[in-house]
Amino acid sequence: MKNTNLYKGSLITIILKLLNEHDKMYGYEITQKVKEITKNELQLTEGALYPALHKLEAQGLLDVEVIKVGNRVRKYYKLTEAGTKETVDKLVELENYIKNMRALVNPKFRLE
Amino acid sequence: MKKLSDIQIDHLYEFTKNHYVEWYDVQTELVDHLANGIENQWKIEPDFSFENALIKEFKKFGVFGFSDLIKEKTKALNKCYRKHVWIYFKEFFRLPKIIITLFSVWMLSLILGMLQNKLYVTVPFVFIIFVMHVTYVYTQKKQIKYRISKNGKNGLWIMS
Repeated sequence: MKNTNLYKGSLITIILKLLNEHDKMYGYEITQKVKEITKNELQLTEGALYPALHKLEAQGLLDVEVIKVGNRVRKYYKLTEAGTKETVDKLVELENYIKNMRALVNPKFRLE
Repeated sequence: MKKLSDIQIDHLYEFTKNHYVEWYDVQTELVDHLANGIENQWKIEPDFSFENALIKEFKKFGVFGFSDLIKEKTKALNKCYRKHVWIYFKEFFRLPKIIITLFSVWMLSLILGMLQNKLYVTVPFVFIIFVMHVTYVYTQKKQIKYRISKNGKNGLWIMS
């Protein structure tokens, strides 16, 4: 992932948000979608994506569906009810973070 | 578009196994991921060899390869198993099993109370539990080995 340290903490939010917008997605599709949306600026490394997906699955935030596609089997992820709730919380958290960072990096000019 | 053959899919399964991914569901997920990556490479370069495309795709997993993934999956599975053990444990303190639990405790305290040297009961008791545990682990391991040798898969899956 580009600028790893800055994006690292937002990986879970990115996954949850994408799954919230799409009914179900598989790992490779997630990496490609992120690349497409950010115009190749952000590339999710596979080594980070799958551990995060498995963690979310173990936490009960994601559900799994397995479908045979051609000569191979595909594992799809989708949000559970708890996952949908968590997405809302995570997005609020991220919005607050962006707001605070913007205030810190670009403070308004004041004449006091 | 150029697609992977069945033999190449089998080769990818072997590849994940050789990189210490022992769970069939994780193997399947990685096989699909690698296959998608290779097929995408073929869209740009149709003559690129399967082996080189695989190496290129595997490199995307970083210097540690599948190890982070294995670590996280092990953690997730352990969490799941602990949860199940806890559910079974709690059952012994609910009706009807609590009757057996209380009766066993009462019986044991009664027997221990009757004996002067309590070690005559406690030592064989602990020994039997230990042997039972070791035997169970051993037979389970043997069964898993047999299952893997029979169909090359560790785990069951229900497909939709």
